[in-house]
Amino acid sequence: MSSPPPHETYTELLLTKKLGYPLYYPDPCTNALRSGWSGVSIGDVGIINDLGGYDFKFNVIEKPIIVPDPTSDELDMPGVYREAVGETGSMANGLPLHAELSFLDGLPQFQHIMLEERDIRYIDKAHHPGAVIGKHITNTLSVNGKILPQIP
Amino acid sequence: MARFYRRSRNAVQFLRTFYTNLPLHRPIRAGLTFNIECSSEKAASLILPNGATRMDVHDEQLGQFFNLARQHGASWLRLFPFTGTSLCLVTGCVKTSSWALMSLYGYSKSGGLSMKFGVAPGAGPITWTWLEAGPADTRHSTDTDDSNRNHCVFLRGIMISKKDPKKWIWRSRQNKEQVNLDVLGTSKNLPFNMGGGNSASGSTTGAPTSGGSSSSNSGGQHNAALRNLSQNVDGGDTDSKSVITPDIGSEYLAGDIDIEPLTEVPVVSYSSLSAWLGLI
Repeated sequence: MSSPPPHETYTELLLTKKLGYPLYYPDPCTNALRSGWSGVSIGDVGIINDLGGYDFKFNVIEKPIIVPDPTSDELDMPGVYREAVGETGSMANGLPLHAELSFLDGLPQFQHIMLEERDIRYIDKAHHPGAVIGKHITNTLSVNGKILPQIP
Repeated sequence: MARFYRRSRNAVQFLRTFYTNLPLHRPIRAGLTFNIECSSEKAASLILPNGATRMDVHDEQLGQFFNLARQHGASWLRLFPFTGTSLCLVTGCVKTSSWALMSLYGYSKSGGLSMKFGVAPGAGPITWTWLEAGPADTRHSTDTDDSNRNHCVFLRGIMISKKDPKKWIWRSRQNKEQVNLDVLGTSKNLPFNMGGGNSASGSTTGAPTSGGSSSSNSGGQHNAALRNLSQNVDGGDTDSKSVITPDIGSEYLAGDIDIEPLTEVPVVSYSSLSAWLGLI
């Protein structure tokens, strides 16, 4: 019996963590990035490809825009709001990224969009903000070969 | 000048409240190593050196996305006829700036397998890499200093696919636009009534390519479908058949990772959204 592709094992095992569908290729696809996409966001419509990556097609609630480069201070706060300097007239796969074309039967009727955001990290914040999610594994964190007290 | 692209925040406003002053990103420290011990012939893990941010549409809003998918799913599928049979409308994700993952299958050596992910020794630029991986298949992000959390490691959403062709024959007499809607990768209870007759199903599918996703056809059957909210994947992983906890957060708190709220609930007015959409 031949072994399944690595991404199938990965997806199968990490699905049990109930955080969602695990992507084996988490990198944002560069083609869509070039046209103003900034990685997966709420309202994206796309395809989960055979490799375990996400191919973005369009977004149903947002229109991508250009904002100025972030300052070094803002790099520590990824969510900080910045004023837009213009809209992208960009195309993704030959289709406009904005919503009009994606709603052949009319425009969406959205009420308030509310997002919940949570941080995923070790409980023991003093050591490191990192986290390890796994199945059939145990994990420890060590500094210079010395294993830190067990992260809860 | 390189342009920095970011999504419009007009449609979705964030009111961020930080409960901690700790930065979300820390510089790489030499000597820091993540040690992974595999105890089974099959194992997988995801290392998030700088943590991650989990984003979700508020529970009460999920109904809107389902209605949207039900209404427009068929036309969206027609837009991409050659790229696959199903589309995914994202309603939640876990995003990070740096990650390392590994997948192991068929490792039979006794004593387990030890793996290490950390800073490679030696001169030159400090980068994280897999120091020991054995026979496992590994990947890691190339740019661990990227402060934009735009790498998506977990995806939740609504899978939109064509109806089963066998059932298409009689359904086409009622409504040609009907599509299958499946919940992707979540065990969360959907806090709304699907309604709408048999135009959508509330079944779950773990892997979109598994092809084994069942569907319950009426909205009234939605609760019955929720009882089957387990991962619909093939394989002998007994743990995946354990009792499903509906609330992801509390279950996860009992584990090794803390999930804490970072934001207050943002609100966007309908008028600004409809203005953007060109309704007024």
